[in-house]
Amino acid sequence: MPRLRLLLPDPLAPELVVDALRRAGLSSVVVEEEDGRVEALEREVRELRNLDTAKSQFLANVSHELRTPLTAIVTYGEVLTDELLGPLTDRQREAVEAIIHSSKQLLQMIEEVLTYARASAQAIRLEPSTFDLREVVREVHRANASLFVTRGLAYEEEFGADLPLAWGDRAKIQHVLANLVGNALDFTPAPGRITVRVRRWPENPAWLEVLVADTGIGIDPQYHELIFREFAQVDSSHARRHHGTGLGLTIARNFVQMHGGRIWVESALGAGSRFYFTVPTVEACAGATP
Amino acid sequence: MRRGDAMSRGAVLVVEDHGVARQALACVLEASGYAVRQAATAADALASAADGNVALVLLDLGLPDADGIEVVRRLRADPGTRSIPVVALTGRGEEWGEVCGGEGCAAFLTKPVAPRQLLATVARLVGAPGA
Repeated sequence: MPRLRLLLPDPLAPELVVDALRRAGLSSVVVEEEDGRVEALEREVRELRNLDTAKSQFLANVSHELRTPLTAIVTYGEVLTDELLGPLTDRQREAVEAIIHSSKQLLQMIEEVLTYARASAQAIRLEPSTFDLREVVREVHRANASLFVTRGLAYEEEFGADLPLAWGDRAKIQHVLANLVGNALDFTPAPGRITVRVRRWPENPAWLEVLVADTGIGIDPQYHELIFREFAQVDSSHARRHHGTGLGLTIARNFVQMHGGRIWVESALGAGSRFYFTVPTVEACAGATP
Repeated sequence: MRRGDAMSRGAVLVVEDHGVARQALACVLEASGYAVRQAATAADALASAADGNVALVLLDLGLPDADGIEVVRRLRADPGTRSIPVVALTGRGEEWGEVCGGEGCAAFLTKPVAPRQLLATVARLVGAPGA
């Protein structure tokens, strides 16, 4: 007889779970007595979870504290470049603009750490609504339009016919897409091409599939899982060249998974990358997750 | 609004606990001709706003002694400060905009605020100092 062993920290929960399983037709569910070893393990897991939450809270606090002085640096810089304190020479302007540019880069990284920490501490909630994913694609392109020009990269959009409206947190889906497009921009040398495609997901047409494809340097298949993990970049030379926190894809994955969706990559070294993620439609909300 | 109107209505009260950040905001406003007063705590901010010479409150929501939203509520609850427009300022993200609007803030700005954006917001609410 198949036996199901329940290891749940809440003393009330096993009965509820057993009851639910029996209702679902699994009549032969047996609850084993827990021994001391299991209790010790559970205690350890609880302590580790608490520690993890404390770590995320710490990261959120530190990020917030780092933002404030950096914000002051940017503001003073812009007071100077706006010539509120008098005219600047060209060389002074160049120097102050470099200060502002670097500070803004730092701010963006801090923003990523803060978002990651808040997502890990489960302080981020979805604010779902129906929206047109094509508009999100166009907004992300608009925000990056000048970068495509300066980096010498072509851009293409493809939309499937009869796309249903998406159902989800528009800002977070936009964050995911912006992150993937940002990566494509960073890892695609000129002359290259970046394509964003939205269509119904072939595996489950109640979901939308978003593809961000580039003709860039590509990713060795052995790293396809790793890149979605915290603080990971494929190798340190990339980290040096691209100065990222390594959190962008982790945050993207968190946001996609909060919607019940999937995110994955198809790529090989030198063959460009194809990042996919799925977004629920209104139809998917009524049914099951993929 | 003429320069004299903005001045006669009082100063812009900058409420921010972090000294350098507060100075930076004050610098933007002063360089453009606004009279500025500063407060580092919620208690100081409420006391300063209550003396009747404040035209606008620029309020950081992350204060050490009270939640910024609580400060907004107390300004709104006091007949003496009820009509002073409050511009909320936070690094906590866009989602706070709605909260601030619901509490009666006149505007909401996310850090880092560009000087031009700050000046445009203040000018919209109390008039440009040089106009």
